[in-house]
Amino acid sequence: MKEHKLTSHFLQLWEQYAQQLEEQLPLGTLRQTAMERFRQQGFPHKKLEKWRFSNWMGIDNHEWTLNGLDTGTSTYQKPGHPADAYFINGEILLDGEGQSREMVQLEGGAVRIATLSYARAHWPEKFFTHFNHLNGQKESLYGIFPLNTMFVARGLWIEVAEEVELSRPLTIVYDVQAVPDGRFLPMRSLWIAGRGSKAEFLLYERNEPTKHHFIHHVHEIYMAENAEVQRATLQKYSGKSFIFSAELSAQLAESQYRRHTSTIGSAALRNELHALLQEPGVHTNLSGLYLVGSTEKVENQVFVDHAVPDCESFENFVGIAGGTGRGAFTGHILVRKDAQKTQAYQSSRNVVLDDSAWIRTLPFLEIYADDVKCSHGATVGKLDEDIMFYLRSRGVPDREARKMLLTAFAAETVEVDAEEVRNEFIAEIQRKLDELLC
Amino acid sequence: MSDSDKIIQEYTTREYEHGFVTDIEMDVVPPGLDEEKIRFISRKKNEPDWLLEFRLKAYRTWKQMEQPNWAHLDIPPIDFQSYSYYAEPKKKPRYKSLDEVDPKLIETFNKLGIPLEEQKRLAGVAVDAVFDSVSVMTTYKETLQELGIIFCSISEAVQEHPDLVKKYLGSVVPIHDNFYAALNSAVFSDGSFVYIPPGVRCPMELSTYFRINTKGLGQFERTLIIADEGSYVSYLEGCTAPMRDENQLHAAVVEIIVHKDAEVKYSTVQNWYPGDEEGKGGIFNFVTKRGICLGDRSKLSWTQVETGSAITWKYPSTILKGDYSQAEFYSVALTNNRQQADTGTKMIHLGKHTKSLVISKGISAGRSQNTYRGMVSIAKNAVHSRNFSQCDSLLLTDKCGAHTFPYIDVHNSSSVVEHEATTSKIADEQIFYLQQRGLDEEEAVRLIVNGYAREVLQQLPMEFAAEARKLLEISLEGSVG
Repeated sequence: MKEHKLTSHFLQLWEQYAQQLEEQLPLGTLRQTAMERFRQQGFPHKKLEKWRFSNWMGIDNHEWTLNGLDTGTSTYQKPGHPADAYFINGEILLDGEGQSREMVQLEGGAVRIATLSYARAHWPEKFFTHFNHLNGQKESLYGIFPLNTMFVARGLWIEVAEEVELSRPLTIVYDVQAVPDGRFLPMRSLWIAGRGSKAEFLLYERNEPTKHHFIHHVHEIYMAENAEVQRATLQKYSGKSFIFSAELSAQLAESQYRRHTSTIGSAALRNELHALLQEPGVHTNLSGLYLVGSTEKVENQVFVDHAVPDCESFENFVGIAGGTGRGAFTGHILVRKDAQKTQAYQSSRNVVLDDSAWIRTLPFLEIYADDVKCSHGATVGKLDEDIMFYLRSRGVPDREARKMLLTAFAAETVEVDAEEVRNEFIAEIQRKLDELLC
Repeated sequence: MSDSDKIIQEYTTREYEHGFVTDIEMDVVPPGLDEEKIRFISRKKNEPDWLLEFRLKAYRTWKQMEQPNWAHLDIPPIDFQSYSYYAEPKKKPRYKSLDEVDPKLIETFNKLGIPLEEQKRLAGVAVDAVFDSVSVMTTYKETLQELGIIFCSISEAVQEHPDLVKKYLGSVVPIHDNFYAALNSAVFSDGSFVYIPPGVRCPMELSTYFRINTKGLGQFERTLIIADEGSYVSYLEGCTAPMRDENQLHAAVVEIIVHKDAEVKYSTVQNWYPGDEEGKGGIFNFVTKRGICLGDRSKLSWTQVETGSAITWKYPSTILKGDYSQAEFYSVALTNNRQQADTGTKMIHLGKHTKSLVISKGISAGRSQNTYRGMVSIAKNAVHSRNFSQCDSLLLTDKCGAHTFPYIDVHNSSSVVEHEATTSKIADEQIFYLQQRGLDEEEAVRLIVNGYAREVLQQLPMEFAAEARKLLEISLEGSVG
């Protein structure tokens, strides 16, 4: 099979930087192993079943260079959006005031946000228990996973102490600014929710609107017994950037995880969610919204692994495609043998706005236990003509009526509790809808 | 052991009732495949040069291809050189009237419940019986001829209606379509040919019965159905094979062409030998079936009841090319013991205002794996198209698997596609309710499953519905989970 052009390119980059990377974040054999795996798997190509529809056309037109090593530390500004912590260019951690830090403590020390190198140096045992534990399991699956371990030097460590309940949602902004075109930015975020903790995070991910970047972000999310974690993300990337974002989660007994991401475009973005329901009594709720226009492509790959009995999972994904945009959803629920009393639901609803737009949805169920309740529903359609007629007959202009209906359709999935944050998400969605409907 | 376990065990140890072997002298070509063997088959069938060329081209294409492995199936390595690719009864293979038919063959088909004797008019079905590689008998030919309907074996059609065969063969399933279709195109032995002239409504069901008898034989039948403008036909297909320890290969191709305003109903009851309870033996059923709704307002309806075969790889599909054309797919797939099935459909919408419906019911028992894999694709120009798919799976034991892999692709803004699927076991409450009303557990399950599959079974023509129901019941006797 013809090898992807980027396979040899990244192997060359590795030759060049391996030593420097290891100096920044010593990972021992992990990097070397990842490199071997990447060499075997190569950069994912379209012949792979789960990559058949990932149109990353044009990604190999760039000679990607690694950001943040020989290029020197970039100049940065504190982003305008208020937050508890900022992570700039996959390199620098700022506190809420915009001061560069190695560690930020919040909620009276109950939450620690640190750079990976700080965590590696100060809590090595904990670091190596968690670092790459989930990603490592995926490294033999596709070359895209080891690629992160090979090149990651910076990232965040977000830890919530045991038995604490946060007083408010915490906000983290991942911002890429003043990074030249053609840069590859590998990042890793480790989330550790202690036993019985309860936390909510609001995340903003973005780069500058016209930049060509390849951002590769892996989140490893660990929830201990009885932990409750909510994460809501607004992804807003340039229509010229390539984004790979993996969210790998593992949940222990009775823990609860709620996740929402609203994706507003990008040249090619792939969210890869792998949820491992590791112990009984786990509840997982994954939702996502994607809006694509012009030549954008957004794909959500969701894999829910019911490994044990008595767990529940819900998936709710909504897509809106206009222009020549492409949206895709691949859901895969695996109920392993003996994972009895599983309840798993999956829903994928989509609207196609233009005849050149394209929606693809693959809601898969793979079930090896009999005492289960699993279902999925998928629809691809247009706006309800009767409702449109109702609105038009009451004097609402066509465009307004469509926007109204689409906002309602999209807003339903936005699972954010805080009213003002929810409104902020919806305002972004409406801005994108304006663009799609013109 | 609980009652239900006992009943499950009873079911899983039940033997395959069509497993007998007919002791009849056969001319079998030695195993293996090369160009010489293909020339031999072609010579044996006295085929024109263009068909030999078609076969050779297919063979060369096939040699370049790899066996597909994307399905959710665990296929043991197959040595394609170990199979024999042609066998025919030693005695005169084709018969003008029933008197000439080898009594052993009549007995075989009678045992299978297939009426070759035309006096069994009550059945009202015209039958083409295919025994290993050749068609032995086609009934009711004259009656059909009066209406201009051609119903004969494909070998006969090659001789008598070469223009039609040449025009349509490979037009829906091209040689290079897939590995098994290429193999079939190279070595296909026999099968049915149906042509319904414009405006004719075929007065009876047309039926083909396939029987693999000879050991170590691959069966590669080829069926070609053409419904000309405004015509209608209902076609049925059934299949059985003896019990043998080794796996036998069956790779058929079915092509259906539906012209303007015509309608074709295609039904299958597939009951190939599924292998024993440890998964030894059984038929590998790798089938490519595809129809095209070529003209406007044409309609194609597939109904399948799949209970047999060790491994099933089968996706009866429809290309909806004509505007306002319609397609339906109804399927019940039951797997037991170590059977594996990966089956479903493809609905490819190309014409405007096209509609398709998919109803699939999977039932898994024993240690079997049952997969629905389907695709609905709506092209940019297929404006105002509509699809609804429903794929339900029922699990009867905790050792089996039920999987649903739908692919939905929509390229325009005026079409609507809906898909829904559920997977569950029979609820205890349902069984309890029926038991309260005096049914035993087994009857309750049978009733529930029959109701579950009813939507599909009622699509079958009367004669087949009865057979299918019987088949399901035999399979269901006791399979309580």
